Amino acid sequence: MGKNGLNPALDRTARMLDLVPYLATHQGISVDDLAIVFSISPSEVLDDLTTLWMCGLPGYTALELMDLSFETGYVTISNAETLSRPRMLDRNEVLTLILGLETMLEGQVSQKTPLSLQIGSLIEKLSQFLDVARLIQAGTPSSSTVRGVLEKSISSRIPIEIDYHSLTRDELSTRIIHPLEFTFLNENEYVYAFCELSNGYRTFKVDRIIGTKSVEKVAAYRNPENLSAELPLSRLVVSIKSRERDVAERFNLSTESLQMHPSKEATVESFTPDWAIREIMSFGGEVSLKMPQTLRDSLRQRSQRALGGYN
Amino acid sequence: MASRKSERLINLTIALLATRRYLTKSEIFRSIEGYEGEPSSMERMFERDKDDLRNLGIIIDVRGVDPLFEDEPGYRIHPDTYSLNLGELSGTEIALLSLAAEAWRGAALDQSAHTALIKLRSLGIASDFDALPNLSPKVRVSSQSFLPLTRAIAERITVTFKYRSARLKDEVRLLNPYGLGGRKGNWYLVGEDCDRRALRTFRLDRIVGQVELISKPGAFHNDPDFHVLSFLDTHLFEPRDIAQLRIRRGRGHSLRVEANLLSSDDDFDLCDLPYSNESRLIDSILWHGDDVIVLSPPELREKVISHLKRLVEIHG
Repeated sequence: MGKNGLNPALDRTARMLDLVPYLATHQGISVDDLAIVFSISPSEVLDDLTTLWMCGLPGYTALELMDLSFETGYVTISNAETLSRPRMLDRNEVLTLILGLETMLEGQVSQKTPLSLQIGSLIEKLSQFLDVARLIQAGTPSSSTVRGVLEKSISSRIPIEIDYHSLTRDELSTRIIHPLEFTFLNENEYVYAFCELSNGYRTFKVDRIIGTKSVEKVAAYRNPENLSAELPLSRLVVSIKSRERDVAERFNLSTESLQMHPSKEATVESFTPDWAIREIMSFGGEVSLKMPQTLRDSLRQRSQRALGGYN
Repeated sequence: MASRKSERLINLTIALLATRRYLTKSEIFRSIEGYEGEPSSMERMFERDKDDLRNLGIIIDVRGVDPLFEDEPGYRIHPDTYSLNLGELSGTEIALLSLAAEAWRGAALDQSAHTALIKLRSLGIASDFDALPNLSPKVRVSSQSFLPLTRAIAERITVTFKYRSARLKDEVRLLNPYGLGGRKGNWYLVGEDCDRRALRTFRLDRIVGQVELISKPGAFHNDPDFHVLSFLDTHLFEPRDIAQLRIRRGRGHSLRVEANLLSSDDDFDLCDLPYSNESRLIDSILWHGDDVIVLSPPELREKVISHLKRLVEIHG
């Protein structure tokens, strides 16, 4: 099977049909660049070009065949008018564009900006080619502007200032970070960065970054030279009565290990015990903390304090 | 072999695209390079080639060429249905479309995003990224179920998959899929559960293993007015009640996002918070400990108090 689930000959036919219009608008492109654009090897490019060179209108004399030249390592094409317009987008291609545009729209503060309107009209244009436009819709909240700033900071290696809502401590803070990379966990996106405020490497959830600002005085960009110097990790033993799926998802536990364990005990790892205690409390007694005793005590005290608010 | 086949398919496409009238089979066999051998084997070859081009999304128009003898069909490809036509596009629009495709890097449909990008660049319109702010969208779909499900929804094919229940059991579901929608950072699949004979919603990341397509296309009907995001909003996210909460100053930010501030005293703010799912709200209130206190509705208040009592009790 080929890349699109088609057989290799069809996959190749599709690629060659797409190669012609690309060449028509990129005359003189090198074979190596073409290989990069189409994600194939230079020798596959040459095979494709050699085959295309034999194609044309019935008659198949020099008059009807496409005229390709690529001996020099640079490709030009002529006499290929019939195929020179790009092919219609297929369903999945239209879908990717619409969903990508919808994601951008969600990142916009207002739906009325010129940019939002432009994105909206593109979605409308594309929707006429898609039979399932109302059935498959992204609409995921994302902060594509924040992400763009972070990406630029990573590539330019210039630190930025962020306003961050820490869920762990439920606090808003402003800090300067040196972003290093993006990571994904459970469909959530995080950025791993050196944080000047805490003077160490930290992970920030991208959609919790409320605002960004460029910094005027630029400190030297921090590299992760000593990643082993990490925070101490706490291990908490919990006992689970129900809602196993929620527990697995929130503590990022492997479901297999929970499914296997008949006593429903699990070990939870956390860099911040405070967060772990809050998470356990949120299950309202369906999850209890067995070990360590000190955290058990602080969980009880915290519950008592909360109960005090109801007297 | 593969090369000869590709060559013949391309020559067939060119001939059918270039012609202004419908070509009959005998004209095709006579003039297009690559058709050779016994008439019956050429026939079989042509049938396969037509199917192959259709699989590439190319629409071949078939019509009787002689009004008096309808048994001789003619074939052609209309340039309008073959080529991409999005009307006039500006450099900014091309830049936006390119970004939309780039958003899929590493996600479920990145192969399609890649070919879409090649087709857009082939239009020969220079993209104008300078006109755009620093956008970097990212589509968050890593689920391997996404691609088979889009096909099942588009072609109305019944599917089966294993779904992780709240008690962590993997249950087999049989579903007529209606739609896929993203809300609050998750993808949801909506469809008619064939065993329960009712509409059900599933979170994509809780589907375990492969989604299997198990019927022919067109196996069920769906409501022409069905709109996946409105369905999700009405059924999962529409507020059903309003809670009145006391939230400590400088705390409870995730609750404040959707709350309305009513008044403030020294330590606390009084807020109204519309909510759709009571148990999720209870989770969140308990998470905040003594920073959030429920005033009403009374049932919610009682539930939170009893959870807290239980927490004290089992950790005593």
